[in-house]
Amino acid sequence: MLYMNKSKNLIICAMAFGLFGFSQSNNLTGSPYSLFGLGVESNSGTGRNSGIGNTGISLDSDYGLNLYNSAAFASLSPDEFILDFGGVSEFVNLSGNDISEQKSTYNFSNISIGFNSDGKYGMGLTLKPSTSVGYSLVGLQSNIEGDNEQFTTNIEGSGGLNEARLDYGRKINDNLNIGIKASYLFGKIEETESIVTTSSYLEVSETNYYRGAQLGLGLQYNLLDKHDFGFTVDFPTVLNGTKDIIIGKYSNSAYTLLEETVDETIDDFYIPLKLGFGYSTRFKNLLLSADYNKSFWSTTDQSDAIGDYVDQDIYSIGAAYTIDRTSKKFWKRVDFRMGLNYNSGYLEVDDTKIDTYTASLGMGIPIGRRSLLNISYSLGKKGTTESILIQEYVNTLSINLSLSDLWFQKRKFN
Amino acid sequence: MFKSYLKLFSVIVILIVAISCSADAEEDGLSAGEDFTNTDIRVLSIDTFSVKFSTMKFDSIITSDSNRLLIGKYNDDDMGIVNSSAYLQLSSSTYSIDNEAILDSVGLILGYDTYYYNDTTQVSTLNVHRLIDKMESDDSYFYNTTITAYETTPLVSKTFIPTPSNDSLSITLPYTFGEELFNDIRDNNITDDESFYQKLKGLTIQPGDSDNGAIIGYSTTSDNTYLRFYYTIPDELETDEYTYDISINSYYNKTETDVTGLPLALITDQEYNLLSTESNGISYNQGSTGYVTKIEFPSIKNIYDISTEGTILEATLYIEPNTASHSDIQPLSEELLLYTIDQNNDLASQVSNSIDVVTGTLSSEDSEFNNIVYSIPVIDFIDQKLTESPETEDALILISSDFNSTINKIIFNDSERSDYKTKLIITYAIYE
Repeated sequence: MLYMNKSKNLIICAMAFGLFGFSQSNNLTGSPYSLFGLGVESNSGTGRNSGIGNTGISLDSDYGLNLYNSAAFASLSPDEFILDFGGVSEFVNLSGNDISEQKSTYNFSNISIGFNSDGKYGMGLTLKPSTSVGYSLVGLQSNIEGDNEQFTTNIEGSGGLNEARLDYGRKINDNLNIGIKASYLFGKIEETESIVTTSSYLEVSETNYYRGAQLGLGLQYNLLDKHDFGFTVDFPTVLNGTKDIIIGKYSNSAYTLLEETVDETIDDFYIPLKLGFGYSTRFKNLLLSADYNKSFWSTTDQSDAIGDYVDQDIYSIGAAYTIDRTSKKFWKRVDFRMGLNYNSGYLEVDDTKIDTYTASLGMGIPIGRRSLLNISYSLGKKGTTESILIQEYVNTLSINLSLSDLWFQKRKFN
Repeated sequence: MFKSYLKLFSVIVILIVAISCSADAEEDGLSAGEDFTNTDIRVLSIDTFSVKFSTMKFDSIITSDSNRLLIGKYNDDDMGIVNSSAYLQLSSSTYSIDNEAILDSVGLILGYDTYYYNDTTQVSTLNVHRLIDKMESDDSYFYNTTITAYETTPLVSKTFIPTPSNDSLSITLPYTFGEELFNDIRDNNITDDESFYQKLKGLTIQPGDSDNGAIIGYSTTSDNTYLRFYYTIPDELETDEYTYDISINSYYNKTETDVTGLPLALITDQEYNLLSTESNGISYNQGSTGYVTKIEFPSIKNIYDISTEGTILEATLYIEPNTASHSDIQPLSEELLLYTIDQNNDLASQVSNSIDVVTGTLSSEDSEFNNIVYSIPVIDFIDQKLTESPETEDALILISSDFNSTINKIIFNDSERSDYKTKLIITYAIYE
């Protein structure tokens, strides 16, 4: 630690943001459900959250940054600086009507920095995917009306929303922390539909751009040193959208641009009020945690091509166990985690909610004195094979590095 | 310590990059979620748009750059009496012959260029006449209609059976005709083109009046077609025979048809459109004489009744050539180029797209059943018609690239006569 040098940290930041830029070009999901709305919600979490069933509303920043409640930033150690970044890979097995397909995606999950200057307040800056779109329907055959021949349709979607977010958590007293977060959501969703006949094709490319800001509040209360309660509220917001359209055709060996529209206004997208409640407690070295989230999607009165938006409930529980955090032995300091999560989803198709059950395992491997390498694996089951729906088995592997250091302290020694 | 962080970080970055790059292998036939899409692109195939044929005739066709002399006469069932003659102006690069030289003989050598049309087995006649006037033109071109006066009595008349596969045809000219020119050159009375034209304004080669055989193509290059003087120089010990050549300087083909009694006789000028319904359901095309079929799609704008949010993906015009009007000796052109003409039937422009000029081709897949058709990609023309502003009367014509140097005819059957083998098929995509 004595050899620590800020320029090295800067290099790591630069490399990590470079990774973010690189990752933007890849899809973060392979789910056909990402056809709906603004794509599927990103389930990437920082630190330990993804290992303990995505719980964290009541958890502090003891094991790295906790983005589930901005009040948690107040519990960063005094003068602590944390850089947290990671990647996630998904392997999805899709099954539906006579269909069985595999898709895999790999991508960046987040980059966050957080610090606490004097123990009174903590702040954090995060860049992460919020939703992601990634579907490809290739080789769909349809009849040409008035002819025996067929044409092929290919539809591909990609993109998603990103969230740039500022968290501020403040200690009110020894038992109560409050926090506020401000998010800016932005991104583009691209869909390219091409139809191919024997000697020609038509391509319709639409790029939807969305942007909007969102505010959220968080609160964490500690009762009798044993019970932690958390509460979060994310206020509803509106994302404004514009659309670019390019339509072109390839006929008789030549390409013709038919239409090019830029910045056409499209319907706003409404994000509803979201409330979150969390509870956690500790039995010696065992941490137990439970969250409940509710998003009031039905109030947004939105619908999609074949589905309606309905209220979303997320129940999650998790547990983490460390043999002895202060032990000199490496493996005794490893944090073992597991969790369960049920997400009802916010989309209802044919009276069926597209819900997800997830079980997760994970561990936090200490690096040095304060840093952690977090690894988690989760298996989720999403949707059903009923009617036109698709069932997905989602295998997710998250790797996340939480580098912690005491920055501001050092200056005092100088 | 941070060094180890960096190492670890590097490993992770490399891993992520590596697996990211190895991902996204393109698979084909992914359809999970097909029912989720609200794709509303429809594709329709439409063959009900009418195709209108009429025949028009260009007032004149440039024949002075056709690189071919077309000479012959025959009776065509469709086109009438087809008659083509060649007009030549001759010159040499050097007007100089040995002072002692004496002319032996003179001949006109016509090099076959392998082109012929109709029956080459018939005895044919070539009459070589002197021109009375110099070939003259206002615009440096000569046309199939250009008239140049020539002497009524031919210098020579040659009867022969054409053999276009041979190298050349040789016509011996009268000695007196040759001697006059030869001596003038030898004696330096002729020293340049101008003084040569004073003596010989040119020649025309006319087919025999009663010929009914083939139109033959002859070369215009100095290597193959020339006026050749054979001479000797008596004072020399060995009497070698020498030659002196005069070759073609400019030329044109006068190509005309006598259509008396045929539907084509109704065409009085270039703006006259002879509807296929007035000519037994056929329309005409013929190189060198200027007949072309004017093609229109009168109802094409009704495509917007289907949907305005759509585009034509493919538009192919199929045309059945009249089976009775082509044979081994009257072959069809394999490839046709598309041009537009304006409301006065003047040539407007060639149809092309961003890649190349557009061509139609003869498909002979079923030729054993005589089911050959031309398939013409007309999408570029139709797209142009649908988007043009202001609206024009522009129509489509099809001509082969050697239209000015051949006499080939193509007779199209219109939709009705072809039992709708002649038709326009449009593939229309609607993407509302």
